[in-house]
Amino acid sequence: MTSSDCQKLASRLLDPDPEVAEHLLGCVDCRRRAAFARSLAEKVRQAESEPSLPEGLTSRLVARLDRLPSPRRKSHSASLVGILALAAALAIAFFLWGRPQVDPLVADMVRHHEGCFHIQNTRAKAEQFRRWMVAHSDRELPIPARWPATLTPVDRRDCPVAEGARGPHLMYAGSSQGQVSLYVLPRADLQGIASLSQKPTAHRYNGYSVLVWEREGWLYGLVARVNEAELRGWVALRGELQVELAARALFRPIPGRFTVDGQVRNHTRALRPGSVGPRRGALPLRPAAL
Amino acid sequence: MVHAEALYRFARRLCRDDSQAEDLFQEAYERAYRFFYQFREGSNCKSWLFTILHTLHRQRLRSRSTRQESISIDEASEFFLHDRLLEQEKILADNPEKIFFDQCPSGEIRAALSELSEDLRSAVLLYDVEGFSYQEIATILGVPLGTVRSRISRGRSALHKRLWQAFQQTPR
Repeated sequence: MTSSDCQKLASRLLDPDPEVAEHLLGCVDCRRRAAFARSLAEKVRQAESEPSLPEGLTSRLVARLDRLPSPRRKSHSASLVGILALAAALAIAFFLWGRPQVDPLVADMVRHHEGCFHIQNTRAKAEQFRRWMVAHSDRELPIPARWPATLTPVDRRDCPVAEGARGPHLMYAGSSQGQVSLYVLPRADLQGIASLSQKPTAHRYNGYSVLVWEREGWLYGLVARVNEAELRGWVALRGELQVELAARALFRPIPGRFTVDGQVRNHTRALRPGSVGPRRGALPLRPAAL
Repeated sequence: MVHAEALYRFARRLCRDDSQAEDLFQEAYERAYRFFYQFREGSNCKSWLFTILHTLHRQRLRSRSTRQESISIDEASEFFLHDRLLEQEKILADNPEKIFFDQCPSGEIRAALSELSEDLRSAVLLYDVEGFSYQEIATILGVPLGTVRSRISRGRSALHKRLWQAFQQTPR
């Protein structure tokens, strides 16, 4: 603390904080300034406090107030009007926003899910998916592990799902589950979307159940026309929040579909779930017999 | 009547006219009486009354469009007066501050204050005379906290300069 610091504002000397007070103890110049500032403030106070209330002003004021009607109070009727107004506002709000709001990302996933199954895969899309897998290690992808045995892979593509974000679209089908989509999107491409929980959150849209969750820079979306409880059962949780890591079986190539080199192959060797999967830089060319 | 004297003082300072001040004072109390249900228990009643009075005053000024022009005083340091007095130390005596206060009547200080613009005057008086905090002054005047600090600082500086001019003209 220097004299210059103290003297930047007179109010620091008039109402000194402990730091300034300590400085004042050892600085004659600042003490003198502080004394002058206090004396001047007192002089101003004296000068301005001289005029008292004019004679009769109080009685004139009381007479004026007496002529006024009783001041408004918080009456029951006023409260009732307030309650009714609030109820009306709530009713309007319920009418306008009563339906559960749909997360735009959830809606995008469902719409994409409904459309993508009707489009035949192409070599280009298969190549895009391969490139994506080359660029992203499967180790980065915590995919739900507890997958129903009756649910079989149909296709996998690199799809534009939500605005500005594209990523693997893993497509499945089951006799009782119907068509199922698992989307994996890079979180960085979804700037406009608020952070999601690591724990899968259920949504309902257009007859579909959707689970979305976020983990380690990836956003996951699971779409199926099943009830929420069943969908949740597919996503195994370890402890509170951790989604089980890479169930590589999900990446098993699909028989009769395009593979990385664009050839349709007959696959013979079965892969044990959780034991073999795509390696960085290459997809297995010999998928399991499903 | 609660805080009547302080409120009347403030009204006089704002209006610089006794009859207008009396009118403003009464109207402020009348409004406080009518809207007392809006007063929140536990909050500062004095500050609430000052806020009402200042708001009324501003409304009146707007309706009349006769915002009074004040004499412009160049800004100076908040220690302008003391610095000038110290420069005179050898000429005057050992204690120039004492000479200043002995020779500075209250009328001179009131005159100096009245020459400040209304914004600066209100801020200085609410702080130095009425003892409100910066935050309370910000509420009363309806301006940000930083503006209150700036106005008090500028007001004091201008006041010092005006008092120094008056002191120099005083025959010794």
